[in-house]
Amino acid sequence: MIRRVVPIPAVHSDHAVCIELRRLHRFFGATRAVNDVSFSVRRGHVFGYIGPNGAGKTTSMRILATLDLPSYGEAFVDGFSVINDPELVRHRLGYMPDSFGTYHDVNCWEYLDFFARAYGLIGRDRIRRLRWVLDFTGTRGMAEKPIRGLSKGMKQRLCLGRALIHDPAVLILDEPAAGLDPRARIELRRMVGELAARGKTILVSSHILTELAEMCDSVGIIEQGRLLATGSVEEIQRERKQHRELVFRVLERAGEMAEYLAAREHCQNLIVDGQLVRMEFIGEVTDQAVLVRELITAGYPIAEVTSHSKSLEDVFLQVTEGRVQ
Amino acid sequence: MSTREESHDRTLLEILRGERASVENTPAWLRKIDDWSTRLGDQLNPILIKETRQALKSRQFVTTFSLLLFASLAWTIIGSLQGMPAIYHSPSAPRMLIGYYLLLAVPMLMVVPLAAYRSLESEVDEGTLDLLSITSLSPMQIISGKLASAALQMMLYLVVLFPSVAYAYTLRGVDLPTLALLMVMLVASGLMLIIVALFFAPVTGGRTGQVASLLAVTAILVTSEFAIGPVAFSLIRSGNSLPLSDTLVLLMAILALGTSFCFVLLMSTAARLTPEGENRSTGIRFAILAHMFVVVAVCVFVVRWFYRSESSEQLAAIPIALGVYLTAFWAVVGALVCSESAIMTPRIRRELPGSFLGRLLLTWLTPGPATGLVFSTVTLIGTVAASHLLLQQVARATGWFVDDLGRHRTLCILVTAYLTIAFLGVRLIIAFLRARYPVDVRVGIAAIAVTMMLLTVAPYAIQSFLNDYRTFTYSPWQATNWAWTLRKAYEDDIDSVVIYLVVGTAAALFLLHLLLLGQRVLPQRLATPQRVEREYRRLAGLDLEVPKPSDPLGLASDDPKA
Repeated sequence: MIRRVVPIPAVHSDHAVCIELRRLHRFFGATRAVNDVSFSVRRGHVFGYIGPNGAGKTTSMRILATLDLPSYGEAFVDGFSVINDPELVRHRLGYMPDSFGTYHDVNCWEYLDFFARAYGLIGRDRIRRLRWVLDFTGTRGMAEKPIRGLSKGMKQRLCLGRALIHDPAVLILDEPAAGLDPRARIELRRMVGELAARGKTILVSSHILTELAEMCDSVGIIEQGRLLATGSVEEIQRERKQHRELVFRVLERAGEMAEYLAAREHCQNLIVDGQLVRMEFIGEVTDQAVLVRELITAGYPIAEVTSHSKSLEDVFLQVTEGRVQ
Repeated sequence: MSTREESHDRTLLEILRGERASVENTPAWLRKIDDWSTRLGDQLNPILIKETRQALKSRQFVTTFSLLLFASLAWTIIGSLQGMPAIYHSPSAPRMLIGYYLLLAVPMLMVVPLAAYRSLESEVDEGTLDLLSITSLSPMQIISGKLASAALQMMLYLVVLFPSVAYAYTLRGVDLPTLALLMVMLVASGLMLIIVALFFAPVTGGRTGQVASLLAVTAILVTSEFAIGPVAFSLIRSGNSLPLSDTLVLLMAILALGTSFCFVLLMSTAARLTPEGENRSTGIRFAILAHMFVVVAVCVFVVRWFYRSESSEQLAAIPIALGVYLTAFWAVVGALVCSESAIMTPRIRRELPGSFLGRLLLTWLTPGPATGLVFSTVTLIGTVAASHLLLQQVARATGWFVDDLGRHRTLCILVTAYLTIAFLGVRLIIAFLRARYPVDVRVGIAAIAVTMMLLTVAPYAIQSFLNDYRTFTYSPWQATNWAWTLRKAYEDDIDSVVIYLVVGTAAALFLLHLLLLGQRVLPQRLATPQRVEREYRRLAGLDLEVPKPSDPLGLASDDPKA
């Protein structure tokens, strides 16, 4: 069973925008799994795709991975249409689905070797690539171990290795951190960061929002097939007029200061707790600075000011308006 | 780290670096063999390598292989002891061979096809097919890899029994050509059954569908086992009574028919694995055309070869069987082809024939129900006409069946006309359904069944009602009732008005379909963008230097994070 093998030259993106979705729709009968979703991801960026179960994340990712066709709209990977030029897209794309997709009765080495061959890698190039992948994913020590004996975390690493075997310019990772222990998650975050630093464009979906907040340059929040917000976490916060929580420790006259603050335009939901005055502040950081200066000028003995913006989780909850399933 | 672990790591490093073969004490000729094997391995289908690795390690293979080995050894001892002392002076090979055949048939005709079925089905079920679909492997490579791996396992089972078969041969009673024929029959049947099993693997989805297809495959395999068994036993017991040349012609004919049919099945299986946006139809249509050509050519050749005198009248069964086969084949294939999606993605339109001659001849092979209907009808007419001409030739040569030629012609014409009407019915039903729901081509089978049933039941029910549910005789009002009309035609008791009516209706509807869908049947070819063409050339290794795209707006930046 001889086949014609064409060694595939490594593909490196020459497009500024590596992933682009244009008015993407996918209907399953009356169900609108993806409904008018548009966003783009620049080269070398990590884009977090957030949404509850059944929001349309996996469907969009499958369309990008050329495994499904949109009902309407277009999707591009490195400037090539996933509908019209799926082969060209596949050479540039590494896809890691939410299921592992492993085989029985093969070891890690054989598994990766098979996919390397399937991507057309031959001879020493294949060996070199395998070595790099095993090193990068930290699975070299398990090369000869059967896959069925691996832990979930190790299987996840192996699957990431499979997605990387042909050195793709774009990576699509569907729930890569699901079910992983904290150490494995940290390791995954390191690997994603390193790949992004190497110029790979990464689209990653996850339920673990704290993980995404740390690894993503920008995020897209999707619910019931609709993209509700997109941009960096700060941009979304700004767009949504996100509250910032401010806590003042005042040595005396805490109640009076709360009344003073209640009259100000950016402050709301004030709570006095002994020496502590907590409130939600709506406004830019400069407005916050002005407020602190005014309080000090007004003679309040402020010993400490703590400010923190809301987490991605809070942003997500606010954007999805509590319709999370 | 222990010494053992260090050694393991060192070995692994050597493997990873490709330096294993360059260990100093390895002889040069061994290194050459190793390099040659590596290069050969690179040229092999990756699926074959993976499947073989998996299969040889699987419990199923180890168990079957061991059982076969022990069973053959046991039968050799028991069979020989039972045959004592006659084994020394009378031919005992047939008895021993029947035992070996029974042992070998189970893994070759049952276990290996089922394992191939399970292998492809689990790829679909466990989502690994998705991962394969986005590699450089084509669906046909996936299927052929599975087929090759299953064939390899079959060969291993055959090799296990080879010494036993050789032992049986020494006991006399079976000649070498018979043995070879038996093995060819077994291997060819095994391969065909693997292809049939692979065909069923991706046909259905969901648990119920999987159980149904598994039952169907098992039923086919068991039936085949029982069908091939008696032929093999008769071959072993009585030997081959035909001359060698006739045996070879018959064998080649059967192999050609089987191969062309299996090719259609393989193309259909590959089409099931091909993503929706790609051309899944043209390959199948080519395979169908090739199969039709082979079927007609083989029938003509066999009739010509075996015709020796007027006593060869039983050859007339060949064209009749051909007619029956064509009717059944086209009822299924035509329904499927007429149920294809009418959506032509730009990707498919890029591959349409561009020249005038190409459009004239090859448009009917492009995907879509409109071209499918024309393709089915025209090919059906061509092959049915060929089968009738063949029968005519046999009748003229032998003088047998001459009186029935007219009846056969009427039947051929009517069957073709009814199928054409049914294809149009399928096309309409599917178009109606597709406007509302997502419809798979498999619904076409149900659509043709419904169409054929309506054509029969509707006129019968209406006339029954009008006749106050009393019995009535056949009349031209029952022209659409194909079952009754064909029976009447078979009895040579049909009015020519009915024939003209049915054929005229089919021809008029077909022409109307052509006129209405002229524009859609001939979609315009789309040009391939230059960047895409350049990329394909690069991937094919023809143009490795890719010029950087111009960036007049300065959108591309050196800083990836910019």
